[in-house]
Amino acid sequence: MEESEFAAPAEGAGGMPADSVIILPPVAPPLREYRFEFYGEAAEYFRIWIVNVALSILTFGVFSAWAKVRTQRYFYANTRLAGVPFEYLAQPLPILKGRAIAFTLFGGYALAGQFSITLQLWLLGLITVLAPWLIVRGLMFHARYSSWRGLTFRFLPRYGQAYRWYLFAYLLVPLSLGLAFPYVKWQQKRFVVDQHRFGGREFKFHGGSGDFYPTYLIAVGLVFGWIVLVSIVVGTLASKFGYPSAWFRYGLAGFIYFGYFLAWVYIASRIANLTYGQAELDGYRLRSTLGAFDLAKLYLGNTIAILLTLGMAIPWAAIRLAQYRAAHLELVAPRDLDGFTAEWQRDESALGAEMDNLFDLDIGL
Amino acid sequence: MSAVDAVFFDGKVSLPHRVRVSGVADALAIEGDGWRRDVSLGKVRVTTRIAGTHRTLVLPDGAQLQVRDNEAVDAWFPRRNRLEALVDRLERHATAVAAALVVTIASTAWVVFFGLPIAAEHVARYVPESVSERMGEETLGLLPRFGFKPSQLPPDRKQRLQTAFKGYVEGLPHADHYRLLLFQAPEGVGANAFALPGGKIVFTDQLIALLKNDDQFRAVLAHEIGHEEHRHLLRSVLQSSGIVLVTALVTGDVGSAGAIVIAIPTFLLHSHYSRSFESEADEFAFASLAAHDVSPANFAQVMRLLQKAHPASEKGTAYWSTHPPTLERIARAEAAAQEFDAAHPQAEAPDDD
Repeated sequence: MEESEFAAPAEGAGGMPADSVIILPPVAPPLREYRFEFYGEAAEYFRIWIVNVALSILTFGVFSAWAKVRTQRYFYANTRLAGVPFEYLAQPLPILKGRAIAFTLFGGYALAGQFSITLQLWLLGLITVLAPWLIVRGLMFHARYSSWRGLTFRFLPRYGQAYRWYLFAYLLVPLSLGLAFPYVKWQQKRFVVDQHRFGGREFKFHGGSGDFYPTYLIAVGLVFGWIVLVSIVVGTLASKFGYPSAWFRYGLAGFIYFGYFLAWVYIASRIANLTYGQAELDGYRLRSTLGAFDLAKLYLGNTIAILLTLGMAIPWAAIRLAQYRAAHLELVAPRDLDGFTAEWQRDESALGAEMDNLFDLDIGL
Repeated sequence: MSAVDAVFFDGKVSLPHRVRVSGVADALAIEGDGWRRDVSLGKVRVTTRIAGTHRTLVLPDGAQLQVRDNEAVDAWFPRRNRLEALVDRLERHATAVAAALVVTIASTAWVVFFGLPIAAEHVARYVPESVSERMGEETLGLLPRFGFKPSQLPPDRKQRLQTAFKGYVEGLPHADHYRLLLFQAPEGVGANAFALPGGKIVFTDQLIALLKNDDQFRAVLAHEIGHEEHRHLLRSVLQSSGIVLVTALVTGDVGSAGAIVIAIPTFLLHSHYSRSFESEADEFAFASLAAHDVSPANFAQVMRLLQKAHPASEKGTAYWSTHPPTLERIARAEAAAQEFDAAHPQAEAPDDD
């Protein structure tokens, strides 16, 4: 274990003798690859999970904030980059506050729908208007309490941008008959990446919104093709065997849902790969290689296992997912990882930090 | 005390330093490559112990120490994070884990099968009449969208039904809030009746056409009034919302398995609740009919008529069915009819065609 803390990165191209007098054409500096590794184990996590669920039940949900911190700490501590674990430093109380607010808002929304549609629409409006603000607060919270090698991440809030891309931009979607949707998603990812800081450097999001279009077009084609296929099969069967039974209709709904599920997994894997791939931190890049097919198999296995075990396979499912994600993420670095420094713009962030403490919350978006 | 290995980060640069740490009285001695730092134990923040993961010690200036030796850290800070130290011990203790499993399963099952229904019953009692009224109005407003059309029954038939209806509800505690509404149902609904909160009882033309006499109408009516008197729709809504909440709480931040993990238990339990409501409404109907001098045998006859009209719907008597098996309901209605006959020896048995 001790050794891996200082695991030497795999060297790229070989080094040059320092005293060479021959002037060579400029060579790109050797790139090093650092792996993300996940060491969590299902059996170990199951014990943590079940004890925390039981305690949350016995305390009528109050302990769930402590449970969340323990879970996060377990997953962070077991995720290592270049042999060094990540660190989750949040305290449970702000999380409890955030959960109480989220619980009230969404619970009220769900109940209101049964009694008065007008009231539900008002609550929906309130949630919609609050959403961009909550997203920014959540990102700030998450970044501030995530740390690696003793340095914390930071998310610079820009509420105007957040409202632009998480609220007003959605008006473009119906106006463009849906064509603006990938563009809006791309802007959202760009906003999230661009506002993050680590080690005194800024994240930059490269590429253009055009990169997101093929993914969404393929997904739409997938759903469309699936529905056509299912309709043809069902039509043929129905004409042969007459009016379909209740069983058959449930099965049909399941089949159509499966098509949506495949499209959703495809989008999730491609967009994650693109987003990681287009993020840059002062020359450091990420490489995400999630496979849509692998991920679909993983999610499907998780869902079946969770249903069959009445939820007891949840820890196993969560560990499997974290393992797969870590195994398909790499850091491609132009230099070693020792030169990141703490942020020094204290004057700019002082007020922000104070405000943060007042409104600290995490609603787990 | 002997020193343990640790990794030190100064909080300013991402460079790791290999150090040795030891507890010296009420301070921590950190020894690096040619340097030494002493930090008072009281000024150090410690993360809690979780499984075999490392501990992080945050020093007052933001520097961090990552220590893998959990026993050493616990020895330096014996009185820190007592709550979470206890939780950690539970997590590592096989008996505690087994107990947690039992607590989780037992309390979830209790909440789902007993707690929620009881809670919903109590809450429903405190929901003001105006709210039920609104709920009923909302649903009523949606009916045309599902293909419900104004009733095509001849006016005199409607009049007779309304008279029978008024005569039946007269003796009830909320007699004045009951109303009979008639609709022509779309294809998929067919012969059916249902109660909306606020005392609106809906019959479809198709069902009226199926019924042979007014007593059969009263039999269905009594069942629907049972739903309303027990506030079943309101309770069903409350219980289903509760299920979504419980499932979401237990599954927590899985995020992986998707909506289906919540949807399937919600659906199955909704059916479970629905069946117990149907039985409750049946029991109410048998008693109410007897009180109106109508034999529950009429109920059994209607069930047979419906079974004949919708033969396909009787295949699914499994767990996901929203109604108890028809044969079971008929048997119970006939048992109630026998009791009725015993109590009314002179009453004429309705003719069973």
